Amino acid sequence: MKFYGHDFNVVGVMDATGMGADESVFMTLDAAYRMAAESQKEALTALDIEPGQISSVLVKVEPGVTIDQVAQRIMSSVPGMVAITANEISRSVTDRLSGFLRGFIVLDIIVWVMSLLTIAAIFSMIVNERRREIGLLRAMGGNRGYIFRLMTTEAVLLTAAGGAVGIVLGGAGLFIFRTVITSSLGIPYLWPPVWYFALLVGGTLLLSVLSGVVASLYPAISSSRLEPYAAIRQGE
Amino acid sequence: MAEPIISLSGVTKTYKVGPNTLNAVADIDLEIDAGRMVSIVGHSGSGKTTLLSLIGGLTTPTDGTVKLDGTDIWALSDRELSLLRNRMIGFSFQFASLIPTLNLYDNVRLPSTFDGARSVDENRAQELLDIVGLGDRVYAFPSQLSGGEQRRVALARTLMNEPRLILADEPTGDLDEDTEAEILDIFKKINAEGVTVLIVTHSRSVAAQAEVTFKMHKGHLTEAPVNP
Repeated sequence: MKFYGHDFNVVGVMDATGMGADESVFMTLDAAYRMAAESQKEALTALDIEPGQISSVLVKVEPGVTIDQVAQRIMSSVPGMVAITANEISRSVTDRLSGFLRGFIVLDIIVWVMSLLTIAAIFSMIVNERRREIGLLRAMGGNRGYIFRLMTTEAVLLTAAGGAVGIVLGGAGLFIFRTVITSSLGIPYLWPPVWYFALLVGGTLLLSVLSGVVASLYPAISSSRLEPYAAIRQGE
Repeated sequence: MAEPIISLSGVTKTYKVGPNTLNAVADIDLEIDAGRMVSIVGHSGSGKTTLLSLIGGLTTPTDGTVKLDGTDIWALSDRELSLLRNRMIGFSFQFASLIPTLNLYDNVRLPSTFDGARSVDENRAQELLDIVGLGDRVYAFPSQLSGGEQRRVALARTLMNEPRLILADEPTGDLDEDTEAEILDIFKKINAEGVTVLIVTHSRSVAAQAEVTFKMHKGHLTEAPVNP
């Protein structure tokens, strides 16, 4: 690969991070000076780097010392030096994403509330359609607690299954459209660590089940309070 | 003297219909001894089904007391009343009343699952289905049966917990004569084994199968002439 008229061998390509470093080329300092010197003759636009001149230094902090402490010490000991911490670099990505995240969170809350209302409406319809069945179960000896548990268990099973299907479909959609998503957001596609992935899946399933339980509470309570005879007659 | 299995005192059930009050069951006193086969005959809307549901603890009386085997059932908690229904009463409704998502075996076995303290005889559901002539179709679903077959399965389910009292609401409604005769035969056999059977019906011929027939009219009960 040729930079400023100087040939380089590419020894590796680093993974994308979504930060400014993704645009960087890593080479030895000597190679950089040579490239700058040769660019005066070989390149269309010369690269002006004086011998000994550097624009930035990457600092690896030793364990036990905080990044901020080191940054402060550098700035106080070298006049005119600006220390930029890793957090500040990643903040640009975070800033870019935070707007989207806020939008997604608002959207999520709206969808969640609508889901609760939908599940509640569906379970109310189920109760209405199964009044006779509920009355029969009561006539056979099912008490109110039994009917309540029956309805909430059904809600748990349905919403758990729905949550699992949603996770699979959502994950598949994210995977299929990852290129479109990352290019439109201007960030790389990074797989989360396994533990975070498991937490996300578990949390989503738990939220689905909780939503089902919350949404089915009113229909479950009202169905358990139906008088058996009235339930049988209304279900006819 | 033994306590009657059913004892009603001043039992009344009223409904609000708009601004009016409807007396579905009006101040009924009734005693039925254990082991009898009794029928209540009346026109549609006479209150006989409401009376049956009051006796079975399926609806709350507006006034009066309902005692089964000397126990005031409306003084019981929901859990106790449910358990009493499960252990003591077998209901036979005027519709097929099977759970459509359960096969015949599970439908018949269902009442035995409500009482955790009871040891379930796993063969009983099969035996009962054999008795009603459907022992070879235990894994069929209600939708695969005719109306008469569904009634027979429902009757088998009624008997699952060996109830001491059977409350039957129009048990032969919509059935052909042969099936009606089969169902009534089963009731008679059960009664011969000492089970009390109370049938409410609009059919005088069905009512005539009982030892004693009461007539119900506009919520009031009168003892009719013993079977015509």
